[in-house]
Amino acid sequence: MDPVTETIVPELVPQIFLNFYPIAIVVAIIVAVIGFSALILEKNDFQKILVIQIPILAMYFIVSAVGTDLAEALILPGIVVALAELLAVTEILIFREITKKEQKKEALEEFDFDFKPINMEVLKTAIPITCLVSVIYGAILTGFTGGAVAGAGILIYLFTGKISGIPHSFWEEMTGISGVAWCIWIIGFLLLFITPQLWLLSLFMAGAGIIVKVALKLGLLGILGREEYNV
Amino acid sequence: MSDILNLSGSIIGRILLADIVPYLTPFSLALVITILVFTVFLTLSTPEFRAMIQFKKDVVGTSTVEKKEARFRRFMTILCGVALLGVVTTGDLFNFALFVSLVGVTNLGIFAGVKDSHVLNAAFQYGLVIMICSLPLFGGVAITLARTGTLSMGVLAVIPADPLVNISRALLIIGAIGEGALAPFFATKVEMIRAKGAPYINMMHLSSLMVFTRIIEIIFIMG
Repeated sequence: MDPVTETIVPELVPQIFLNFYPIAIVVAIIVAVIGFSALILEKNDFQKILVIQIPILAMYFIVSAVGTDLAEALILPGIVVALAELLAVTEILIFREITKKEQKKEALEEFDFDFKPINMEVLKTAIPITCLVSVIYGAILTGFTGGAVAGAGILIYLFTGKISGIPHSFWEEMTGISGVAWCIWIIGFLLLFITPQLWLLSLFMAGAGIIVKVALKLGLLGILGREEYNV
Repeated sequence: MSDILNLSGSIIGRILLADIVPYLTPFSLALVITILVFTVFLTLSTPEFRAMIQFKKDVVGTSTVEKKEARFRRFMTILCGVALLGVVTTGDLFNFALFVSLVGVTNLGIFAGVKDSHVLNAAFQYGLVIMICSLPLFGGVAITLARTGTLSMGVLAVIPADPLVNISRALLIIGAIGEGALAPFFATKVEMIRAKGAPYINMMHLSSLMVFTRIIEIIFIMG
């Protein structure tokens, strides 16, 4: 096998294919953009599976744009892979809907009993102070450790100070904020590598992002609670 | 093929099967041994007994997966191990893309039988991600083929990178991240790994690790 260094594009490819190649790639990119925007706008899960075929169509475009015999040999496995993934995802969607129905029936059979929190003075005064101290200390520490300390403080407050009555939407919002903080962390990291001049900004972005993200790890507990009640 | 890369050491052996050219270096040999040991370990182990505690109630108990479901998961775990062996040893870029897709599908299969709507929801989202990411994965391979005229990693190691090859490298990274559920996408994985039946679920972590290791090596090979 000699290295192909003189002419990178093989000479056997006809000129007409070389001229068509950029057009095909541009068309594929347009199709992919249309598909992705449709995927973002679509809310129905079943519709999502249908819409996702558009980016896969763009994949076929890019592979077949090569235009040689090899491209033909490559597109068949591509179609098979796409079909296998489509079948697997559809199967999971069907199974999820069946499981949801079964779980709803089970939820009705559960029994309830009264539960009253203990009325003590110390529970009302000591807990907010402990929470405040640990959150401030966590903010001073910053980073991963700070996030853990602040998160523990918030956890103490939520679990002991206010035993019942945390709404379901609260946990959802927590998860959302955690996701945004994660994005800030990643963007800070990227900036650090792309533009090292902005190191201070990116450092602060990464530090602030990770403290919020780790502190809101307790959102996972809310998701656990959600599963127990099948909300 | 002789000077494929100084990074992973000299080539120990290869199988000349027309297009399919698996090769072993000291680096990939270590990965192969890890995968084999892990797969055998998971195949022989039995499903866990998970302690279940209900919030705000005095309900404690254990639960485990059914035998039929466990058998299916074990099969998928073995299949995932085989796909990972392909990922780390293959010498062909397109085969790499296919094996990575197979890893994605088998990972999905490990979670397909879980009777928990939240896990299934996460698995569904992961399925959407792997379907989307077949576009950059195969697109990157196709652009490499169109630019260089070859898919063999031995030849690609010699060809210097130009802007178009760099674009396909970036596309390959995006594709592998999606299929292996790496950095931004492992939010779905976090939801999924809370399913019952612990030992088989660990295969997903191994697959992420191996896909990540291999994609970095391939990026260096193409550079």
